[in-house]
Amino acid sequence: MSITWSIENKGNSQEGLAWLKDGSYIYKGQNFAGVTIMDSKEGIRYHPIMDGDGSCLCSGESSNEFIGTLNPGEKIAYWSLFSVPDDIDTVTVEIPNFEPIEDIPIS
Amino acid sequence: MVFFADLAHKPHNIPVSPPEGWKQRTEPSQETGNKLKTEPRASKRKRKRSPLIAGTSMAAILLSSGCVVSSPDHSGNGNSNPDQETGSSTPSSPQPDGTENKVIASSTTSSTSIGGDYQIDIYALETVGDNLLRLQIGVTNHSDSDYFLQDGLSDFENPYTANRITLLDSKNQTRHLSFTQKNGACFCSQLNENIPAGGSADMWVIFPQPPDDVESMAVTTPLTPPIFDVPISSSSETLENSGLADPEIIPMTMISDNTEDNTGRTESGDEVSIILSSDVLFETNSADLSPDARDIIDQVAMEINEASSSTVNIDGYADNTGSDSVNIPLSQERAEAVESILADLVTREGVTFEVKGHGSADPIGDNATEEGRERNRRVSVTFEK
Repeated sequence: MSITWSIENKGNSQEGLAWLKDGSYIYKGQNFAGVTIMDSKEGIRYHPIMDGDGSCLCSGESSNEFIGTLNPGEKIAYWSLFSVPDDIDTVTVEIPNFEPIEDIPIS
Repeated sequence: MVFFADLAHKPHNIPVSPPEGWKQRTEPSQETGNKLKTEPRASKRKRKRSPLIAGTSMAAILLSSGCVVSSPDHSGNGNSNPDQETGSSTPSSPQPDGTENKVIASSTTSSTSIGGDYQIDIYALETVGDNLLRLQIGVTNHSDSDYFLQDGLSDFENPYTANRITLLDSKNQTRHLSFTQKNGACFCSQLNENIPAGGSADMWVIFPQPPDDVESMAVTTPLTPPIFDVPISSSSETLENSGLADPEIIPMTMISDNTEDNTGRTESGDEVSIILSSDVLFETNSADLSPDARDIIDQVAMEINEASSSTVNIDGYADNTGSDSVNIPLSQERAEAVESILADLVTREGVTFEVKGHGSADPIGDNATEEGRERNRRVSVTFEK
């Protein structure tokens, strides 16, 4: 299951996004593995999929084209990939430093 | 169903300038060279459970109108388009005939400065010979200005290629990396050019094939959300390359935490690992089990009873505070304590346990944070479903 999410910089200064990096689990390299989803019904938090190299299946790998620092007014889309049981209908998206976004239906 | 779940920018203290090294990759994102990464385990085992990736993508946001269109600085000198020439053993693949390529799938948005105006179209995912799978894509610039394609899809060793694109086999729960040649080059096209407003640039990259019964794969790129269910077709073309390194097909692991009983879980193929918190199971600095321990371990025993594996691995770990001379024996004793309860509670016959203490080796959390250290203080119980 893939979640596409974006962050908008409504402030006046440039903001880096390094704080989206993995928190409790370590993934390899640069990543936004700090974005998790929660199945509130069961109380289970899902971290993004990790591959055999330890890499996150999510945004965050830097390049000249990848926007990892938001200029004022900029809004950029990112993604994270999770594996969840088939019977889950809705999830809560947890992005560090933001209030959780609840009741996201899975289509 | 598409819906809007925008985030209001919440004030918080974060540094204004990007952390050092953020803008440039300071390490290659993939290791190249002659390295065997195929997991024999993953390819031998039969998959019984339902697909790893459930259903289609779920869009929380779309970048639509009003996105910032900026033409990145480039020392662009026009449309030079060197075809793949690094590595003498690289044949070049003819581009598809004609300029009209049929698009079978597209990305929806991107993490570039032109957002949704940067679009990756998939033209084909086709077999092109012995174990070779070719992905043909176009990168389209829907914005009003030129866009210079740099290294967004490639790694250090192979600039201006799409070699960081990967394919996902949800049936077998594996990730296919693009082929690397023994000389370190990818087996792929190279594109070093400006994409004019409204223009499109074609690229291709070669992957190892999945088993014959896999009919479609997901495409991941560093710059766009994954594109699911791309069907595999067969091409009449055949490519050969005797200079390829071993295929890299790596497993995918699901990682979750149960916030109610404070256990963690990883699943990779048929292998399940249940991660028990040492802080919950044991008294401080000892291998004496806490009052809650038995109930927690009982849950694990129930799963083992339902599973088919005859071997169960119990591994104890510590954080990095304290010395090995303390941590290794303590983690060993803790693993043994869990084993003694499990041996009691597991009723299925023929189950044997392998027990080991690892001290502070193999951390899964960041030892620099309290949260990470707590996560590293653990006993994991691993078995096959």
